Parts: sequence; C-alpha cells; structure tokens
Amino acid sequence: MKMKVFLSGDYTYPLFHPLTNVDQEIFEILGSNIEIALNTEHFETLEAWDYKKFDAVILYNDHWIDKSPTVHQQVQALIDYVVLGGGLVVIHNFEPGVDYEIAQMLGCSLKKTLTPYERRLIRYVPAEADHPILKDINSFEIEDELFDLYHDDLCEKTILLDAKLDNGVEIPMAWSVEFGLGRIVCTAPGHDIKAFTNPEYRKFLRNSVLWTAKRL
Amino acid sequence: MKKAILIGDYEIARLHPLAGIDDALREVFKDVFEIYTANEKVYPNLNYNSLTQYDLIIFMSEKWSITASKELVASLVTYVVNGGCLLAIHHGLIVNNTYELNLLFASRYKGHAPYCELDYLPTESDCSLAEGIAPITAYDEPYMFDMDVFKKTNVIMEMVYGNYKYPAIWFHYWGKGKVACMAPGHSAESIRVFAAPLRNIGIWMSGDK
Repeated sequence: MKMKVFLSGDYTYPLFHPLTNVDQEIFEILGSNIEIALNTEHFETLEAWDYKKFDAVILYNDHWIDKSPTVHQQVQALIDYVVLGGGLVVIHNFEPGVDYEIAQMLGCSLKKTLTPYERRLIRYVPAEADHPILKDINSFEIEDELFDLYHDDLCEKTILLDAKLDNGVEIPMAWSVEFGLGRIVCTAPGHDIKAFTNPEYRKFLRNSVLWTAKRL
Repeated sequence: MKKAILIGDYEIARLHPLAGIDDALREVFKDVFEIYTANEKVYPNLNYNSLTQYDLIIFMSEKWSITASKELVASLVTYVVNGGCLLAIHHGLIVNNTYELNLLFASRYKGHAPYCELDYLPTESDCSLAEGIAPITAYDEPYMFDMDVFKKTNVIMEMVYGNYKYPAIWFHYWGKGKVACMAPGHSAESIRVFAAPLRNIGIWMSGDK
C-alpha cells in the first residue's frame, strides 16, 4: 500500500521560506510510491486522529507563531500523534519550537541565524552514527543559512549531519529522536530550493521520511 | 470525589516500598482524591484508556528501569498532553531510562548526597500553590536535578544544601495537562511532613484549570 504523507508549509504569508516550488521538489524526492495525501498551510484544527491517517508528517512552516490562537491544540495533537507511533520530519524551520513542549520533543529551538543576510556554502558531513538514514549518504555542500540552535540536553538525540566549518568546528545540523513509540527527524538545511536539488540531501530527506514512517 | 491512582512498587522495591506511603498519601489527600493503587504486577499493563479513568496519577515507581515499557511511557505522555494530571514524588523522578518523562517533569535526576537533615524553604512565588507554605526541616535524601532549558516551571519550595538552594517542589502545565514534582518523600513520615505543599498541588490538580 502507498505511504501517505502530510506536507505543510506556508504558501500565502511565508516569512522567509515559502513552500511554493519547494513543494514540487519534495514531491519528486518522495517519488511515486509515496502519496502526499494532504498538502495545506492550515492545520490549526487538526486533531490527533486526523494525523493518524498519515504515515509521516513533513513540516516546513515558518509562520508557526502566527497560528498561536489555536496553538495548544496543535501542540497537543502533534505530540499525541508522534508519541503514539507517528513520524515527523521538520525541515529547516524550527519555529515549532516556540512552543515549549514541541521544542522539548524536537530537542531544539532556533536561537538565531548565524548568517542572516548571506548564504554560505556549508559542508555537511554524515555523523558516525550507525543509522539507516545515513546508509550511502556522502558529504555534500549546499549554499544555505547556518543556524545557532538551543539544544535540550534532556532530549536524547542521535546526530545525523554536522556542518563542518572552515576552522574544523562541527555543528549538529540534523538529528533523529525516538519519542515514545514515534520517530522524529529534524534537519536544518533547506533555506530555499537549492538545498532540495542537492542529490545527497534528496537521498537524506527521502530516507528520513521513510525512517520516521518505519519503512526503513 | 475525584480519583487518583498511585503507581509504584511494593514487593520488588529495595529502598522505597509503597507500603505505608499509600496510607500517608490517603491522609494528605483526604476529601480531594480517593486513592487507588497499582503495584508492580498491575501498572505495567495500564494503558491510555485505563489511565483516563483517573483524574490524577501519582508516580512513585522505584523499579521503573525494569518495569517500564515504551507503550506505558507513550500512554503516560498521551494522558498528560490530553489534560491528565501527573504528580511525581521522590524516586518517581528517577526515570533516566525514559527521557520522555524527564521532559514532562522538566528535569533530569542527577544524584543525591546521603540521607540527612535538610531545610526546605518556600520561594517568593506569588502563585496560589505557594500559599500557606512554611519552611520545613526534615530528614530526606537531597535529590538534585538538571532542569529543562525550554520548559519553564514554577518552583514553590527549594532545598538548602551547603551554600546553595536546589529546586525541591515545582509545577507546570504540559500540553493540556498538569505536572507537579516533589523531590523529597523518602518515607511515609516525609510525605506527612510535606502535607501542606502536597495538598496545595492536589487542590490545583483537582480543579478545572
């Protein structure tokens, strides 16, 4: 049976990261065996049982904070979905972390963008973790934003990708979390369409969706 | 009267059996919660549906590292995020094999110095849960914790150890639910000594908000 995925991002009022055009790349990355069963920027009213129709949820929302009037339901529904076995992939936009419970579950929140007015060629290297997502993934370079993130030490993460800086410093930029019965991948690369056209990153994203859906 | 379920170990507990503690909690929460118990043979089989029959879970499992399952952890998280109340007392806070509960508790147990006499002081919190709480001197184990960086909790009592103060009792909302943690509680006597803050927590948890 085809895998069903829910993809959300902002088309109408994106702050910095419209899903427009990026969505087409994500469709191609997932391929014909994975169906985008729902693609909407509005999921304020979704309940946990709505999410349960999907094998995985992909969030690319940079306008999360403006959905605050119903945010408690969003928080409750998303956590409920994941902890009971759902899959969640959060790409580039760590604004869901403005809600503390979501930040705890993801293990991070955005502190600041280190390169706010420029894009930098960033080298991403697979971490040494023996993780199915990293199978056949090689180092790659993407012109992207570099984030400074708050990390929650209480959340148990497996680092998947590090950004390797010129001075040798490595900054975690993608990781996985097993939260209750569910699985999460947070990945920072993805400021614009350039990231989604990188062949290695495309493999990484597809593997991430499959792993969170327990198909890898 | 609202119903609470006390989850913990009787026969397999080495240092903190619930025998005696159960009755002390019944005294503290009389008129607020009717307390049922689930021992080590029962609570591993609880699930979300069975937990929702109760308005409050009092969590004091000592052998959580061998009794816990991923399914039960998921049920506890779901119970709280959907509006349930969870009170973790003393050794119930040592759940480092299931970090998800550390996130709910907004804390991770680090360790403790030997059992000794300790001073517990109310903080300057102006919340209703801090009302009527006087300083307490009690023998207990000085549990210490790493507090969560994201989830800001409300500390209503601190433990004095050496020249420092450490969080001892705290509470917060988590999702739609309510969570409270009490680091002391080594014995039934300790539960009775902390009756005032425990009752305040119980009343808060028994309310609609």
